[in-house]
Amino acid sequence: MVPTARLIADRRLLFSVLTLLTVLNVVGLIAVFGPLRVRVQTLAARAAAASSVAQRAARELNTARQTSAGSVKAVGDLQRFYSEILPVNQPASRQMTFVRLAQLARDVNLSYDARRFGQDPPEKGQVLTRATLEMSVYGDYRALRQFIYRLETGEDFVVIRDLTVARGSETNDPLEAALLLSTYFKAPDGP
Amino acid sequence: MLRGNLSTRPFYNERAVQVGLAVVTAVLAAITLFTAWQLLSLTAQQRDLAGRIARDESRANELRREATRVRGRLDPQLLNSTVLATREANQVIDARTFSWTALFNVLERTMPSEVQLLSVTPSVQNDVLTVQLLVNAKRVEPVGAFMDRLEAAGAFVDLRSVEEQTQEDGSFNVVCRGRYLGPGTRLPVEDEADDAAAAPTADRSRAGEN
Repeated sequence: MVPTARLIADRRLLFSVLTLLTVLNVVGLIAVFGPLRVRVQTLAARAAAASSVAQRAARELNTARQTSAGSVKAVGDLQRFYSEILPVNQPASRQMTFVRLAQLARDVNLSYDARRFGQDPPEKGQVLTRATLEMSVYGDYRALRQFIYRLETGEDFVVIRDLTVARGSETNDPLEAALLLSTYFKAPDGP
Repeated sequence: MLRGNLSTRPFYNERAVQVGLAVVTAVLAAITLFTAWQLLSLTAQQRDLAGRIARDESRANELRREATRVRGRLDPQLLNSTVLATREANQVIDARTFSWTALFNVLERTMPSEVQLLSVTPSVQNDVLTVQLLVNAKRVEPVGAFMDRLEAAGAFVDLRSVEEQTQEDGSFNVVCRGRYLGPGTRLPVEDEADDAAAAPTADRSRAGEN
């Protein structure tokens, strides 16, 4: 058996280098590598959290921009609705309910005896005044259907809110239909 | 024969020792390289992650500031009034888009000849469109058949009679109410045949017509 001391003595330099490398490796693994690995893991978790926070902030900004753009668009759409779809004011709504609906009834051969007009101011938080017209029309069923069809497909914004139909006691009596119609216009002091 | 080793430096197998040391050196060198590579890699990762964190945090702060600026430009009162006005406009538009013509079409398609329609009242509550029908009939059976047909046609669900009143002439006024789904579909063939036997023809002026 060769004594270890002699083996080391014969290759002192090589053994010194190997020993130094071993010590460096052990120290590196224990003192540097381990803590560095833990630090990198912590940083990775922080990076994920920071990325998530940035994404949330981007979503917040996107929502804020959409709200802003949506608000501007909604205001524009509402103004167009008030000025182009609905009667622009009370005289325009009167023209519709008082004149054009009478003309329409006449055009489809419906007659009427009485009409009642009303106006409901906007409720709290609302801007539209509701102009209502109650009218009883007389005629045959086809004429009533035609009247309803033309109300629904015409340019005037009229809503049929209620319809009651009655027949006379005699066979040839015309059909009587009580209609509750509404149109809307923006109250002058609305936003 | 001499058995003792008289050499001052006894012989040993140098090649075996050299091979052993070479193996140890190679292993140690590999471990050292691996450790060095790990250290470099972890250091690079650390630098990269720290940079990413700084970038993301800075970006998040910038985005939040911008969001605050954008929100700050919004007038909450105007926003609220716009929301309310939009809701109101949508309700009005919903009422306008309700098609009485389509409703009458489905009523004509399904109403037995013995039933007479007296009134129709639609209403919307919580986005549910309910239609109330007041009908008159000499017997209640045709009214029941009428409700069955309306549901079978897919025009109504949850249709029920909510009130019934006997008239002076012995007929019944029945109030029916249900959720209106739209004009629905055509009746099945046997129902149509059945209806044709009992109902008036296509010009159908049953809604109160004599």
